Amino acid sequence: MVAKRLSLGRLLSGERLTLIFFLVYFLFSMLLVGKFSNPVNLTNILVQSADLIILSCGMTFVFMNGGIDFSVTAILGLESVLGARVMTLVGDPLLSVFSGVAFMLFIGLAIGCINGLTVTMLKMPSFIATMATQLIFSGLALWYTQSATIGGLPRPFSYIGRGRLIGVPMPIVITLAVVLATAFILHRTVLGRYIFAVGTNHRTARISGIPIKRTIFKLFLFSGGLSALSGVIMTSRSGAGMPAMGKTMLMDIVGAVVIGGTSVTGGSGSIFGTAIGAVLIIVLNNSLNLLGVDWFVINALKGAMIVLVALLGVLRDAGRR
Amino acid sequence: MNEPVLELKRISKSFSGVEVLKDISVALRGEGSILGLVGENGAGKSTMMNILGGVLQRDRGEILLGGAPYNPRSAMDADEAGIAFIHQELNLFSNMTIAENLFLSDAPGSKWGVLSYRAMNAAARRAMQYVGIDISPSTLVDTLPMGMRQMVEIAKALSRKARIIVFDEPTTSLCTEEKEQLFTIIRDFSAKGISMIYISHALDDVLALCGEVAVLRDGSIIGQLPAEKATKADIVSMMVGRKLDQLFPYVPKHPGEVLLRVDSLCGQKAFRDISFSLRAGEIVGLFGLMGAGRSELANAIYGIDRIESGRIFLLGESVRNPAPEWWIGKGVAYITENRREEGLLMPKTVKENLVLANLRALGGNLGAIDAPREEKDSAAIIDRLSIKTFDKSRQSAQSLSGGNQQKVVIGKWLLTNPRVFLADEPTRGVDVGAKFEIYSHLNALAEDGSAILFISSEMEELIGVCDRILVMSNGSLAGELDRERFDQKELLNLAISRCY
Repeated sequence: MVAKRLSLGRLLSGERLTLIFFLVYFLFSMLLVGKFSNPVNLTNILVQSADLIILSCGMTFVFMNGGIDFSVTAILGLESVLGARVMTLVGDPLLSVFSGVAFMLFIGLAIGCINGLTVTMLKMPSFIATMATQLIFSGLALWYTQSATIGGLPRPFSYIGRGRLIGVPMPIVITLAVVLATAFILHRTVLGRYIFAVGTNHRTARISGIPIKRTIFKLFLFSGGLSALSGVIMTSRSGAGMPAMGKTMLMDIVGAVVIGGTSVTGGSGSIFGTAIGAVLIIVLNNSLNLLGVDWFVINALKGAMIVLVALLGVLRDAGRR
Repeated sequence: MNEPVLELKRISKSFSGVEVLKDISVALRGEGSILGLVGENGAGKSTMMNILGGVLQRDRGEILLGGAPYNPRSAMDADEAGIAFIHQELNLFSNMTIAENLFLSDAPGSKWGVLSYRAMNAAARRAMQYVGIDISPSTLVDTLPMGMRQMVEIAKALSRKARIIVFDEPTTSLCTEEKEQLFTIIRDFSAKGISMIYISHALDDVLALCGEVAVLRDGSIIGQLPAEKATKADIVSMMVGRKLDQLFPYVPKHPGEVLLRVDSLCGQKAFRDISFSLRAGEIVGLFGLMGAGRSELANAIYGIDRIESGRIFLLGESVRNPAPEWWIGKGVAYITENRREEGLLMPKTVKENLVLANLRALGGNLGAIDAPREEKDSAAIIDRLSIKTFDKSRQSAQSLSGGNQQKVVIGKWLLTNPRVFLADEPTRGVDVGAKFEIYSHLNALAEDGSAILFISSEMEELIGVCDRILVMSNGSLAGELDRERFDQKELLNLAISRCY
């Protein structure tokens, strides 16, 4: 058989469709939308994609078990303000950045931990468990700051969101690392196999000796931890702790994961698909924005695209059977 | 005798080339008559009832209902024709009231889709009184004992104006008193002209209740005879009377030390007081009828269901809180009954399924899967069990044939190097050739010193390959037969000995 084509096909099997869709849309935008192909705009797209990609990668893990994590935007807001507060309290700039970032990551992991325990130990659906933590912690963030932002962050902190490493913007470097690491975990490790097995069939997985609860618990740690990492970048870029940071991103995150070909019922999906899905959403936003399309109309079009890609996926799966 | 109420004429049905019903002809004679239907598991009773209920379509033959052709296309058709089914597993919503269950569709007094609880409750009270029970119709089904729930189901059938009621193993979950109550009602219905088909393993009940008994074996009706002329012994020999026509590769073995011992094990409700031991190098059969508690026992031993009391010993050491992960580490494998739900990840590839129970051993640096070893291990098993797959890394488990799927389940466990196998119906839904291969593999494992518990409801295969057979009946161990004493009648007698 055609070995080369097959291996590429396998790499992208689930997400090939999304990739093709993305390339076509990208090409049209390059040709038809005036300022789209401008290098500044393209870099801008990549930097904007960074947040969404990292958040969506985390969400992909939870989706693998047919769950959802609504608390990601609450994590963003709470860690942003609490991390900013820690940084303004510590005197030494480098130490303050270090402790601030560590604290932000800790908050994400802690909330992920709460979600994971609620889902595995109290057997609550993730839909409910994470909706509760979302309300609790975003409420907490707003109450703590009374909706105000916290500025005056140490100078070195801005490097994470605005700096460059050998000419490449830091958010892009971090995002690339996250995509590679999570793809490795999901597609190349024992834990990844556990995740696929648990998402496909709990009972078979359990009888085959796979630690179901521990695996599901880890999914929420991934989601919480990656949200926190994304929050670090966002806070750094905006230069202030904001209690409502990323508040409107939830639908884009879920959209990116679904467009990327990850099954809503669990058991199949891929990190690369999610990453492409995220970039596609940003490109869509950007191109329509440049065309002067109303923001509300952009949202409607995004919804239409999710339906379209999902429909194509359904047709593809039906054809395969 | 007047015209038959229901007559099945030369009904045949095949599933993917395997004929499960062959020229079945049976009749329910006269209004108010009761026909007993008996046969081993897999004899074709359920298929026959599913055809009658419109769930399955027959391939050939005709059904006459009161002399007119009856061709049900769906369960709705059967309902409209006045045929009701009371299943072993009751079809009630336990979170609803009696009245709500009775009138799920066609609620009396409802207008524009708005329910009239007054009318419903009044009708429900009448329906329940008809089966001899005076109870508030707004009682939640959840709070009723099993016998009472069955009465609700029967009342439901009557409220649907059923002329023929089919009972499928109605007494399995009833206590003696409830059973007597049920029989009183059945006799009362018979007097009122409602005809019934009564399916049960409890032959005494069948002989006591029914006017006629039809015996089904391997998809054929062996006979339909008046109950007063039949004895239990006649019926048992009709049910099993066949020669072993398949080859079973029995190998004499030399049992060694006791590997697994179970002492007075009680489950939550499916089984109680089970004790047995498995020695190295022997294949021990576990026979029982459907619902005898065999799978539940295996599930409990493997730590999937809770154990109420009793102990398990592995190599003489007491096992506390057993769980699949722990058993796998100790070399105990569990080939589950249901490939689709418990054995395989159906949409995943053959290779992924084969290494599933042994993933921990494949973890290398950073937990990365040792891909070359995965490739080698799975290839070795495919070769050893001659699993037919065109590409193990691409073909999904669901696209394999039943026999090959089962081999993948067995192969998955072989990779964990077990010494004890709990094998629950390892040959179910597998063709004859693959069955033979599976028996041979089990033999080879036993010869290598493994202990195998072979759970099956097919007597022939147990007699063919086992060294001794344990028989479970209604949740407890009814007896044990050594190879010299293997006998189908004896096995069946033991299996029904505790059914009452």
